Amino acid sequence: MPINVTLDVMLARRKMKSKELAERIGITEQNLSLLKSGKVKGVRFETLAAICRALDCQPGDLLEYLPEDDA
Amino acid sequence: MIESQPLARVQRLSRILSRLALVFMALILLLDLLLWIDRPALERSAAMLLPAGTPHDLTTTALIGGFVVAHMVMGLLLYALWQAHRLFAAFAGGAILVPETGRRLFRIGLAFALVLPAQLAASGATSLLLTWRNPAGSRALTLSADPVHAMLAVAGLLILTVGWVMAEAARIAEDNAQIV
Repeated sequence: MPINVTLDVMLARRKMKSKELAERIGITEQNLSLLKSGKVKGVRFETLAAICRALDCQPGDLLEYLPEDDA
Repeated sequence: MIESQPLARVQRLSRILSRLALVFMALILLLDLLLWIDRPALERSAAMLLPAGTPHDLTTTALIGGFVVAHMVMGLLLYALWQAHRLFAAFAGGAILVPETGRRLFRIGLAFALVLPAQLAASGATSLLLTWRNPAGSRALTLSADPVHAMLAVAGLLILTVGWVMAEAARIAEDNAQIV
C-alpha cells in the first residue's frame, strides 16, 4: 500500500501517548495501534478529524503517499 | 464474540441441529444399507422404475451400475447434510456472519439443486441397465423424478442465492471492520 501512516511521528512531536489519544478520540487502543502500523483498509473522516483536533495538525501530517517503488 | 441471550439461544439450537444433521446422515446410510441387502426390496424398486410389465433383469452389472448411480443422488444429500452439520457447528461456536457461512449455504443449495438432474440421470441409467439384456426394441429409457425433487431444486436455488449474498455481506462486513 503506497499510503504510509505517520501518526507515530505526530504523536512523538506532540509528546502524547497512544493510550491518551485513543481515549481522546474515542477508539480502542487496539484500533489505534492497527492504524499506526498501517494495517487497516481505511480511516473514516470522522476519525481523521478527531485525530487532527487532538494533535492540532492537518491530515497531510498524518498520511503520506509513497510511490510503489519506494513503498 | 457477542454475549447476549438471543445469541446464546441460537448457539444452543445450533448445537442440537448440528447433531441432528449427523443423525439424519446415519439414518440415510442405515436405510440405504437395509435396501441394498434386501434383494426383494431391490426387485420392487427396480420394477417401480420401469413402465408396468416391462421385462427386466437384475444382473450383477445392473446391480453395480444401479448402486453407483443411486449413490450419486444420496451422495448429494449426504454432502448437504454434512455442510449443514458444519454450518450449525460454526453457529454454535459463535461464528455467524462470516464468509464461511455463506459458502456453506451455497454448497447446501448447490447440492439440493443438483438432486433433480442427478435423479433424472440415475433413473435413466438404471432403466437402461435393467433392460439391457432385453431384445432390441424392448429396452427402456425412463426418466423419473417426483415433485419433491423439483421442489428441492427450487429450494436449493433459493438457498444457493441466499448463501451467495451472505458470503458477499460477510465479506463487506469484514472489510468495514478494517476501517477505523
